[in-house]
Amino acid sequence: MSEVIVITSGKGGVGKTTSTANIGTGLARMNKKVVLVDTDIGLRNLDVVMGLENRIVYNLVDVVEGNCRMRQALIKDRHYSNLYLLPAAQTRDKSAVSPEQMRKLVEDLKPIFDYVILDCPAGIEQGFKNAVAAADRAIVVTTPEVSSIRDADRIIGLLQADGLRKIDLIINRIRMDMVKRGDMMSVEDVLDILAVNLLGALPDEEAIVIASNHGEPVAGTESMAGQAYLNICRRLEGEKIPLMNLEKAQNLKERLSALFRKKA
Amino acid sequence: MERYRKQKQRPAASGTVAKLRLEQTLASDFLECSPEKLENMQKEILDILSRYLNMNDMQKISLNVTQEIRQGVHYVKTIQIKGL
Repeated sequence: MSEVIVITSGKGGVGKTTSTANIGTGLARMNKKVVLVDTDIGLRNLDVVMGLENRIVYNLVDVVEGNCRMRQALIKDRHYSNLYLLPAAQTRDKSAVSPEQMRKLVEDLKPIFDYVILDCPAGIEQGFKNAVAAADRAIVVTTPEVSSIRDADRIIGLLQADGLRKIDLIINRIRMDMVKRGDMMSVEDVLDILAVNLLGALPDEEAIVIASNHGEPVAGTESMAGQAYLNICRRLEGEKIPLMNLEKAQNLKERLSALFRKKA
Repeated sequence: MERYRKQKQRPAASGTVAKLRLEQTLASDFLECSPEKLENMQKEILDILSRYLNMNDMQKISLNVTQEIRQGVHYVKTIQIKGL
């Protein structure tokens, strides 16, 4: 039974694409057959986050329009032979694909893969509708900020109205030092407001920026975010894993400077 | 809104401010009603209630607004009229 998951957020720049790449990589590490579909037609980015931008020949629109066979458009990951990317077209726009065509495309992918993960564009227009039409369940990504939580709330409403059977939440870019000072909403605060199942919480970490600079997902690396993404994948597989402590172990210098900041 | 202003007088942590603002915004998005109107409504309802009932400071009054949408999903937003 393959599962079709859409990763969405409403607001742009909260980490949909990064999460898609990392969840895909994490699931592939667990020996699942995974395909990542970039549905952001006209603004494709999943290819660069995965470091596969130089291998694109055909794209999603080519498949839909019958210019190539599905197999020709699928790009194999550099590290995992059971992970594939179906890139978006860069020179077209969202109107190039309809929700029905997207559903058909996903139906064709389902027999081949354990997981079909759809990277949704920002916004609630055509691109969002296309991505959601084909999905069984959704992962909503948000950050602990007023603007992105407001959008997440709206998106959750739209997904429920669309009849998605399962909606989970990822809270991204948490800074524990700020949460401790009371200058950032905590995971609990966000859950109070959004009232959906929490799939995972991720720290705001330099490792993610560095990894995406190289076009390498962090999932499975030593970094805290890498471990947190692996936990998310294991929860998707139905394992019960407690939330990890997002506070990083501070060295003496950091502890001292934190102490002086408090006094000032 | 009232709660937000009260918080504002003493320097509240910005995380708390964010949460209050967010709750306020989501309530007015949901009800399609501006925060000012919402505040006026809260005042007026309280006025009417206190005309008929003996109100004391211990009482808490809230209003549940339920909306049914397709698929039988319920949305409930609670508007705090007094207390808490």
